[in-house]
Amino acid sequence: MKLQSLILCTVLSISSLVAHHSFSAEFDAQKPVTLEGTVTRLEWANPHVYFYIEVKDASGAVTNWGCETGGPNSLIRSGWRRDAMKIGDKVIVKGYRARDNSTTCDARQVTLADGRKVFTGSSDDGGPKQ
Amino acid sequence: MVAALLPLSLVAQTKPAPRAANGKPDLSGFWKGPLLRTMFESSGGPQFTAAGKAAYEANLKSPNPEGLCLFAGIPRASISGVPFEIVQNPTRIAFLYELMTTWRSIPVDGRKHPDIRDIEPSYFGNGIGRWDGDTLVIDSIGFKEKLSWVDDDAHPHSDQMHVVERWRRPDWDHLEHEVTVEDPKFYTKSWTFRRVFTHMPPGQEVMEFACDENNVDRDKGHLGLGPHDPSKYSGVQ
Repeated sequence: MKLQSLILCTVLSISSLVAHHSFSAEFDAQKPVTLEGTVTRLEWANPHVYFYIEVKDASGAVTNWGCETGGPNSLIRSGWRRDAMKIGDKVIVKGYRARDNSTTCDARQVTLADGRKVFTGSSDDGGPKQ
Repeated sequence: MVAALLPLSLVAQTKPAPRAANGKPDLSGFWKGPLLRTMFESSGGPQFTAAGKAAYEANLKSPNPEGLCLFAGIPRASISGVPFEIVQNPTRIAFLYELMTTWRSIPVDGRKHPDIRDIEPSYFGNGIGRWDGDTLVIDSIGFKEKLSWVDDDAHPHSDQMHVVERWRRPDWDHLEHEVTVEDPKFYTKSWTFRRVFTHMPPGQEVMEFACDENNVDRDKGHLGLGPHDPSKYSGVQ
């Protein structure tokens, strides 16, 4: 899908779907995170899509993060397909860390391996739009 | 008239509401509206009984039942922000909620509620429909009391909840929803809220949502307790 149409679909979908739980039930809007890493696992399933990435810090240490997005229906209506993200892809995730400080995040925007930036949050879940 | 409040361009573009073969308005369609967080706004806030206040405070310390993948029931399922389809025939009207792939099928044939003792309490209750002019009125009783909130803000309901919904389609693209809830066990007075749904774009259809497929948040203990604070974030209605 071309970038322009993906963005359009994303905008159109903003008000159409909701999480099965609210953003702040699990995540903290005061803890924004930006993660660059390699996808190691993808769980394309309800109620939220989960993907896992390995993130290397400056010293080379690797941390595994698990990030959730809206459900498959929400992502499909935003222009995603289940093969949009693959194991081994390098992605950039902008999101918010879990309240419990685990390496869990709510992904609001993902830059895919091909450079596309997509909104991935659960719309209307009360969380930040970006 | 809601239509009178809509932008002129929108009114000019919309089509009249369709009618069924029996002359009644046809509410069939695939409808959406944002998550409603203002259920008590027009009624001055919830007026709890002592039992209702205790139930509310317990909910504030409990996970949102929706996060546990329990059914939203009514009135919550209709205002969850997840779209739903309406399918109508002359004697029944079915609501197909994408939220957790739940449904209710309402008879519109003049019947009355069964004796309350014969109703098994449920999340969606026992609903019966009738037409009041061009407005479909659904009257529901017989609800569960535990693990069910009326909204995303932890407001409780009891097994004595009585919900009256009034549905009206002023034009092709819009569906009005006016709901009056009374629950003398948990609230000292009834309350009413309103919502207008819009039709989903052409080509969109209701999709399966098997909530318990991979509920990582629940299974790993990530879920927090109580509702979130809508005042902290933008874009929430």
